[in-house]
Amino acid sequence: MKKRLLFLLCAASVILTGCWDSIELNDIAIVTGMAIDPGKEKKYRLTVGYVNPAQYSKQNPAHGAPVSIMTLEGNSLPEISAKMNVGVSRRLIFSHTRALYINEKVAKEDGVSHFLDSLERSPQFRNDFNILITKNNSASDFAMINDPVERVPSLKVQKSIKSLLKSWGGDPRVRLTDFIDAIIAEGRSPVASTVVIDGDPEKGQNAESNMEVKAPARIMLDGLAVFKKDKLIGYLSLDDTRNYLWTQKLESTMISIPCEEDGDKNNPLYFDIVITNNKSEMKTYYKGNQPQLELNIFSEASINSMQCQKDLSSKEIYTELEKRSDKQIKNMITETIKKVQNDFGVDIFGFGEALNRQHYKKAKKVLGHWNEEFSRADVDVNVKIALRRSGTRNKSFISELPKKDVED
Amino acid sequence: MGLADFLFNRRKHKNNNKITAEELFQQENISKKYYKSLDKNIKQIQELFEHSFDFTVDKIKLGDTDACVCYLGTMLSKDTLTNKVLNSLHPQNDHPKPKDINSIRDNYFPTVSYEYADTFHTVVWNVLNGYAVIMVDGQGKALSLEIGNIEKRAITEPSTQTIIRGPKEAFTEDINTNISLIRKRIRNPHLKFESFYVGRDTKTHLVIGYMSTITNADILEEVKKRIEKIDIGGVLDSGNIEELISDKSFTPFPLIFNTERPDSICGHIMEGKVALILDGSPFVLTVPSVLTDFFESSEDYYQPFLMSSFVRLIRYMSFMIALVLPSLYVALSTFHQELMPTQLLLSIQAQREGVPFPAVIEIFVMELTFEIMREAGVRMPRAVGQTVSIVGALVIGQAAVEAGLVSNVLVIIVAFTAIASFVSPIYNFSISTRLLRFILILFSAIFGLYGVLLFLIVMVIHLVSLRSFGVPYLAAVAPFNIKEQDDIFVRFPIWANRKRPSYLYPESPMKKKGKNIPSPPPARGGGK
Repeated sequence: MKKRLLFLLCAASVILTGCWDSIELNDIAIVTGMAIDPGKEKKYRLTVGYVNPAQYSKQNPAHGAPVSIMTLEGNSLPEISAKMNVGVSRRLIFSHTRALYINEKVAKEDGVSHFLDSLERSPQFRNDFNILITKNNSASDFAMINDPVERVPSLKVQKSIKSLLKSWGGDPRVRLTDFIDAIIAEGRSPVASTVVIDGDPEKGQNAESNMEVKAPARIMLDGLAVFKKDKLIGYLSLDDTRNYLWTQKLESTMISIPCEEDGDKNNPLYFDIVITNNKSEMKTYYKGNQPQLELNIFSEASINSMQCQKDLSSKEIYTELEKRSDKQIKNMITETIKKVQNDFGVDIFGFGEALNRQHYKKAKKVLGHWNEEFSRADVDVNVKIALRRSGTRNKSFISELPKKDVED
Repeated sequence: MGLADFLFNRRKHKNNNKITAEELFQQENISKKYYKSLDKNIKQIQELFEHSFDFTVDKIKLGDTDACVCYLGTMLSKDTLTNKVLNSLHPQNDHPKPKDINSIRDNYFPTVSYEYADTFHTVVWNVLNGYAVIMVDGQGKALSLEIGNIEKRAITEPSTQTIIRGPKEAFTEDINTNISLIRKRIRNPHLKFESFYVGRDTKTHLVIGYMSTITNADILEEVKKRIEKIDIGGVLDSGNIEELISDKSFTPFPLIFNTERPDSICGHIMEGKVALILDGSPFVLTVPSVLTDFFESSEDYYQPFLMSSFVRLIRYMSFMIALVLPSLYVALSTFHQELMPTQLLLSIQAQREGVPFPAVIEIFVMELTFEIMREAGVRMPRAVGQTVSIVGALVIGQAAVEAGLVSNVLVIIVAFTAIASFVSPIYNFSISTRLLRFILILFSAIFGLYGVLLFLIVMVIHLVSLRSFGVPYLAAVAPFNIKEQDDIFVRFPIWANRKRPSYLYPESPMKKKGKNIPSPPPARGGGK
């Protein structure tokens, strides 16, 4: 009896299960980018860009296009992608999608939630692709622009975003689940990156454009798209994006700060600091009936360039530069928060979430209309920069020049 | 008494090393009686050795008594026979002519080793072993003289288990040489060698060697019992013995360790194992063996412990590589493309462009090709070895890729797998990985990673169920024993390794008493 049962169990584990969905590498097309535009006859127009593997062959690389695209119209994403084989020979696999381009018109008018559901539901999609709102051009153009270095456009975009995030900051680091969480959350509104095409998209599609030193068209990051629920309501610039990141988690950035508050307007002098370590703490509370947004930032930094004649071997100068940096950064961030408060009236920073964590009882009352509360709140940003090092040099050689020469 | 539960009840064994010819020949239709009459004896021995050109009966006269010397000319050195035996008995020698067999020995052969044969069985057995047997008319027993043996192979370097540092001697086909190689290394009266004869027809000499002060008595009993149970026509190599006495035959894993290195055997004997030495085989067995034995080379103990620990980890790693790498490739590339990094997937896909076969066929064909090449490499005459390796490497490797029949990445995988499978210091362990690899590829082609996992689970269940002479095959790992870990995956320094493996239930568990950690002497002069 026991043996028979064991045999049944073993047989079941082999017969009833297993993945019979095997498919050879030669029969798949790896989709790296998807672009969603408003359809002319139906709801959406979906463009997929899939890699042409012969381009990656080391032995005899064909001089063809690195990616190929296919466009279809339809009412839902799953339906269109299932139908793609009307023109594509291989089965599309979406697990390596690197970028999802959404035309700003779709995001503005229809909202994004309708197709985000199908992406989240599908087991094929990973949670590691970038959601990008395309400005000016149609989203399908973005899936086609060649890049001479990375070849596959969507890989290029993702890599470029990753590198930018490490060196300067400028991407909100939003993935599919973050975006969906922010849509349903009461204390936070979603954001996404925006991209634009610099140059002529027609020329950029041509594989021969890879031969040119100056790419005729280039996909560039352009800042933030601000959403209210799932609808796009406006944009923020790249600088504002960095300030936004400063309130979230900034890995590292480089920032130039004027030496004097009211120095020579015609020939302003700057010093650069590189932020290496950053901690930000958000506090939301009520003073009487007035919501207060408090942001405390502590960053470690080092000096990276010096245009002004300061003696970096003295401690006082360091303190002075630290104070200049504190003030500058505080103004920048405050400005961005105020801009969001006045122009959009949605809490993209997550102050509402902070309130929910810190003052749960109060939050329950106000989170239902949190965006109004956010707009009228007082903002208080405290920045403390600690300058730790000054590169491989103390005094700049500029400070050793006779004063006259510098002025000349 | 934990081990005794696995084994059968202890049985009183005849403590008799000498096996009599009667026991050996009891199955055969040979007359037992040794006659007083020389003619009768000559008649029955000549009948027995009929049609054997090398059997000789030299008739001589001792004074007026008839006598004869019989021997197999191919089993002894004829020079010694002539000088030591025939010349002494020559009638022109003016020795007194004694008639008594005892006085013949005392007078003629005071320095030759001898044996009296009082049954006809013993006479036959002695002739077969290369003795010269002197039969005298009217005597109740014959005199067997041991004559120098025939030519044998010299001791050479091991050909299958080479090492860089350490003793370079290997066992030969001669059992006495082999035993002397062990005795030389362990000078201890407690090192025992007990003798058995196996094979109904071949009556091959099998000797078990063990330390009576270390080896567990139950294990020893079990070994003897299994040897006595052996019932087979002929035994030609220790590989036959291995199959006849191991706990289970239907397993790809070897349950008995074999080596041609005397130092390795001595190490095992000193741990409490039993060595089985078969005449005519340079491969000596030790029992009980556990899985981890097959990952240990004797060189591990001669090189610095850090280095040998690292090398040992490499061996375990390459075992896994040899087992699963091809099936992982099949599973990932045909089922789970999403598990690979994008860039890797792209470059593998690019290489597979234009390959006409599915990945599993491709890998099966290449693995089979490799197995064929390996088999050819072992069997073919040395003179054509070069040809096969050139043709194999060039044609199969390069041309197949250039013709677009197989992808580059596949050649890399097959080659890497092949090299990894050679890492095991004991050859027949790598055979098991070769076998399992093919089944694993099949599983991964049908079920993907799920199949790979399923197979590995079944394999581990099987491994856990194995026993070698009652000792769990995965001993020290499963059942896990933290105290044994000083010499399993890594090797601790020799001075830290004080205990013998507890899963062998040694009679004396400690190798040494103190903890003499080497350290520099205290500094002199102001050292405080």
